Amino acid sequence: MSRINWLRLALIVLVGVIIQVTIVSKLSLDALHPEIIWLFPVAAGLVGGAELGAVTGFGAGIALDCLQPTPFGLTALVATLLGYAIGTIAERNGLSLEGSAWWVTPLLGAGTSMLAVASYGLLGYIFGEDQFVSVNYLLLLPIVGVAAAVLTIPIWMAVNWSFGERKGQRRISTEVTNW
Amino acid sequence: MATRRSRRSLTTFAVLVLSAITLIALSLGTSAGITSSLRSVGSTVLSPLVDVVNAATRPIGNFFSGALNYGAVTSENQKLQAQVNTLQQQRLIEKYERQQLAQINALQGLGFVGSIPTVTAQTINLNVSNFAASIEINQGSSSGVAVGMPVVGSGGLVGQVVIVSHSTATVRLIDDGLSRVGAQVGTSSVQGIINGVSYNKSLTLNYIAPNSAVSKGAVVYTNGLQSAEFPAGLPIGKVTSVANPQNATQMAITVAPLANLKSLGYVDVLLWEPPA
Repeated sequence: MSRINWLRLALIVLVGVIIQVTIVSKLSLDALHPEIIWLFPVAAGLVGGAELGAVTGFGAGIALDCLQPTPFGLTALVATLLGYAIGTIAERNGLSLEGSAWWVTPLLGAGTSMLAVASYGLLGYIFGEDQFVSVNYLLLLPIVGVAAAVLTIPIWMAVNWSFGERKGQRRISTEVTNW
Repeated sequence: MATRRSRRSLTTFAVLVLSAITLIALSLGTSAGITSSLRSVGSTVLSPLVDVVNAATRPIGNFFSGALNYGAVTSENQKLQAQVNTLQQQRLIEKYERQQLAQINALQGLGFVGSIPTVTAQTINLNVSNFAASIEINQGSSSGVAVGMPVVGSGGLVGQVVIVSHSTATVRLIDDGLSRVGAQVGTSSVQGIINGVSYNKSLTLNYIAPNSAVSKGAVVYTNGLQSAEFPAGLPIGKVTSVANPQNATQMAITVAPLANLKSLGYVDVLLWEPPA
């Protein structure tokens, strides 16, 4: 991956963090708002593999942690785990979202974002943040899931652009769409 | 080749995970100053960009609010609410001061709450994170705001500044689960710790010995004890329930914040820092 690709990716992640803090966090319902930050490590993991997924997750997480009054490093930890896990699965199976069925990308974004939020709450609780269990997950998870489903494709396209063309990967939904 | 790449990925992953866990441990432990400094640096770098986007997107938000004829009414209501709450706050502080006057005169070295300079700030964002009860205000280090300063408004204590950039600051509200405030019930000698539970939930008053003189409706103030993080005499809330559970080592007391934490259009930051 060239230096220009890294710069593009850093810029996209930075814009994502700022949009999360300035716009997305204000779209609240009962004081709960969407979280788009998880989509960046997911997209980076799918496009660039496990290592880039983890690095993107760590960078995005640390940047967001600087602007939130939550334990410093927790977002970075969850996003790193998420990016690495998705990247590893994609690498081992040669998966790509390119050319997949229209619903696969939003579904993947929604599912992984909801998983990330639940993991964030659980890890926070394990680290001693008892109030994390008091969050209304029945409302938060659908909010995060719906927003992620809507925004996964543009974010994946932006991350894909930053990496440049990648070929030789199999469509993620081949088996499913052949049913 | 693939194995080498995979091993490199794993090494990078392990380093990043360990770094994140170390940062979490530092931020939750006694070395929170290190992560606070890192956060301040990051916040200072990112905040100008955040400010620009906030400034650019605010008119759009106002447009939609105005279209529904909602923004003007809300703004006026918030200003009036702030005035009413300031008067209410002054009344409670005066009551506290009258009751404490004899003791304050007798003791030297206690700060006089009313003499603390303040900076008025507007709330520009609520709950930046889904997992923390917080507000973002439009005053930062350029106005003298610093980490640790108390924030009041809407009738009483609102919270404490936890992140500061040049022109904005993030305030942890007193109902956040991480909030801890040294408290005193009325003018009595009953003292404990007010803990937040979660956004929009009642506070709990802890470490009060069973059968202590605490009654429903009593006002709870900051106690301002030595090395306390808040000056003495700031009204926090009113006791809403008192119970003496059998065989318990402390009373079960809930407190409703005097500040209307749901409607914090404007707040005052007290330019007061805990004594070193």
